[in-house]
Amino acid sequence: MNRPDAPELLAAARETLMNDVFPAVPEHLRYEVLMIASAMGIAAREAAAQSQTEVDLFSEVLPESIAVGSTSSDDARRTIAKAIRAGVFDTPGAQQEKLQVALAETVYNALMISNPKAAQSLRGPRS
Amino acid sequence: MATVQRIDMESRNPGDPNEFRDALTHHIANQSGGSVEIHRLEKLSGGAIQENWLLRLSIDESHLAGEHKWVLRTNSQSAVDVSMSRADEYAVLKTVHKAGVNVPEPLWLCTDLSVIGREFFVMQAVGGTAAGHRIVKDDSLVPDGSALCRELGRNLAKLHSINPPNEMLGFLPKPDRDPSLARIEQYRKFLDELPSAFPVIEWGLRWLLANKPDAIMSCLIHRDFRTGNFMVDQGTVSGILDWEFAAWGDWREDIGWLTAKCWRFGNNASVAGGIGDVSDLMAGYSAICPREISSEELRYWQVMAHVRWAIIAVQQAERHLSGQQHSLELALTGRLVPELEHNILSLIGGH
Repeated sequence: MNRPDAPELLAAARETLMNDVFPAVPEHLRYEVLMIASAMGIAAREAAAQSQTEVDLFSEVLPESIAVGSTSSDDARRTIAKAIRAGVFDTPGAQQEKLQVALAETVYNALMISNPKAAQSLRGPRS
Repeated sequence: MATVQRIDMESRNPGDPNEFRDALTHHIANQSGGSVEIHRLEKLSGGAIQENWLLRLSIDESHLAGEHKWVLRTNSQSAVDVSMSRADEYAVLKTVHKAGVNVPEPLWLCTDLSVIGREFFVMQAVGGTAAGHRIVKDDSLVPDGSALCRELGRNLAKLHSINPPNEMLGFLPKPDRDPSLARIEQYRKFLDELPSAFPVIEWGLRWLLANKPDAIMSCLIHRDFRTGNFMVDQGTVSGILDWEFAAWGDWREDIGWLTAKCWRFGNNASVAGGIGDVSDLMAGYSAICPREISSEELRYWQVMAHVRWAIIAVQQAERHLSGQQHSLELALTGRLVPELEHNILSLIGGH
């Protein structure tokens, strides 16, 4: 067992970077250090994430072509995108509703990793 | 690409100005017919594709005699061929300057590669800052957001008064018969070139197709007209920058881009670029050109804006992933995509 795990290591590294290194960083490199800290934060959250996978979500929309366990995430995305472009979900109704739920859920999961602050507003008022 | 967020117009990468200082001094002496001394040559930040160099110089014994503050704009050394050439951008700048759009005055173009090794043009430097995150938050920079929005509106209207054909702009792709349909088709093509699929962006494009407005006549549009791409000095526009994406298109595309949530720098209540209201923007606009935009049209072009930015963000991340240009900034741009997808879903409704 590897301890500390990836999120814990990244958190510790990020803390040292921001608390000890950043104050001594010259002006012209500060943006770079902030980008590094941001990338470490995203990677730490992604390593810790345990959300429902895209395959799970998309298989509920098109169960006949996307199977949990045998379809890859890439293939699931491709299948859904192709069906959208073909107009499969154009008519309002249960099928369109299912798609919208799945899309919103995948975006929410991705935002929880890349931008948790924005994720919290997802279920709030419309933009 | 210009859509990488501009940080500030202050020096970030020192670079090596001595590489071409002498050749440039000689070139400007030829241009002006006088004697030239370059006091300062400094690379400005922003733009992965273009480089901007601030030039402070003095000229004697010439019609250009005096102290000058100019900007030299050229392709970055790592540039790939994704936007118009500097010669074309110079022609756009000349054209819009003549139409009364507030831009840094273009001075001359140099296509002689023996000077600095790349094509470049020189323009007047303008004062102020383009830093979006400061412009939307600092009242001392923008004491009157309504007035600034009206000024932006007037500038857009002057730009949009330039119609095809235009002999100076013959290099631009011909205007599309149906500009919004052409965009949708182009974005689908971009998606098809990517190694993975993007269902939310596809859903946005499907909505754009279903809600497509009637085709209207194209005019010249900027295509990156947003906070961060114009300089603001003492609350007013001192110069609109980055014309490399200019094209014939639907004028409302520029309005949608400027007002899209992704370009408000967090100041979301101020829909027009995080600065003020759309009503002020359009009041300035219609003072020059009698046009209006409905809330439905605005929503349509804001969805278009987010779809486009999402695709550009994916493409930028892809530049990093493919090894074409290794860059943490480009890699992180890919992580903006979920937020843009969130904006697309919010705007088109549903869940």
